[in-house]
Amino acid sequence: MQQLSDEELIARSRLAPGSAASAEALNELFQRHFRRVSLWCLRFTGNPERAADLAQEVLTSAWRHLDSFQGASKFTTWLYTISRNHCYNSLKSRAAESAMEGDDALAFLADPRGAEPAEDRLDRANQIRLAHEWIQEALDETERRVFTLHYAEEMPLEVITRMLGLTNASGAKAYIVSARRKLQEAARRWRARNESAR
Amino acid sequence: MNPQDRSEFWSSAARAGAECLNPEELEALLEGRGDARQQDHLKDCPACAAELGLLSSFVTCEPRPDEVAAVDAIAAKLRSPAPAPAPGRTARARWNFSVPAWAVGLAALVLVAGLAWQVRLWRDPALRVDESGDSSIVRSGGLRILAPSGELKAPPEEINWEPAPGAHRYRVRILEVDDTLVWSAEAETWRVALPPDARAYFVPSKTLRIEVEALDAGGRILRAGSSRAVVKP
Repeated sequence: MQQLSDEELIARSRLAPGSAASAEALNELFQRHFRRVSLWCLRFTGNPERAADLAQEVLTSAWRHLDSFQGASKFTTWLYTISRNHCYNSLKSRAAESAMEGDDALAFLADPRGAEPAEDRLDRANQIRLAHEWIQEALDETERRVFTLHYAEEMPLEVITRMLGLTNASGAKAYIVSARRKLQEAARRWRARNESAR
Repeated sequence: MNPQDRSEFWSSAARAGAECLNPEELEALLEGRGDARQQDHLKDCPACAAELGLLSSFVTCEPRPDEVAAVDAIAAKLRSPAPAPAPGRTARARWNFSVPAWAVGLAALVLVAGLAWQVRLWRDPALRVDESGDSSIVRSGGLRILAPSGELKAPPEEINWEPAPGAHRYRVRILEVDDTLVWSAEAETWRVALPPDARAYFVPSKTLRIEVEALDAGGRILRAGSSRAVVKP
């Protein structure tokens, strides 16, 4: 049983659903991933007790929905999708419950003079293209990842710190501060160029 | 641009878009099988780069020294067998293999869900249960909506689902219980962010149905699924 790949174990479990052989194959399959799911949930929660509960929910969900696994990806990737979405949803639900800090931090890019920034005159698609360009050009790889996970995925900074294994004293917060500063600078440069060109 | 628009503007720029890579494509990149298009996309897309980093950390599963003990403890807890049968009762042979704790959890979950559903039916007999595609009932060939589903504490910010193999795009709809369409969108990835006008339909106590259809390149439905969601009063 141990020599079989994950996908072969699933195939074997489907030969005779409900049989002892099927249960054995599924037991082997899921046990292989206990540590993987445990680690993921630990990084998401930062708390072993909550991580154990979350890991159990993830595995239960994967078990219940195993028939939707069609082999388009490896089982590990499929399990990643389940783990990821389950933990994000759990995080969002907890955030809604505790009224997560209102994050208007992105307003930091407003023009400090209080004037209408030049990019406000662009249409929506060009604004997004411009923001994308600033993110790509101004930030280093870690800052980009932290910025994306925090602002696009709404992942709390302490979760990002654990997920990325950031070992500096203030973790992801330092990267956000640095990213904001660099984006402010990129915006200032772009506005200066744009205004002088007009 | 007001502060809220500005926040939305930045998060939109960093968020996964329609052209972003699906999990199978990210897996290909992780294993060095990615094609030129996927590699080019990755270079320019912070959302896919971040997602690939997370997938990579999940696949490699390398706890750091300060995580090892906790991971071992959680895994051991998941692996721990269920309590032995009461003395004097003979376990049947087919139960001789250990039942992991999470499988016991599954049984408990199913029992609780069944009871909760029954209680809900008792309380609200007028609400018909749509058994054709509720995400809690997974059928072979169905598409499972991961969120939102069931009772919510607040209007959802996105709809997400399990990717369907071979899907070219997804059609997403929000309907009232009488099938009135209130919002629809298309997505090429496994989730779609809900704009404020869509979130506004999620008022307390109002049940909405979410439908997602996976379509192939020719627009044929490969899989479909639905869920119901209601914001708690």
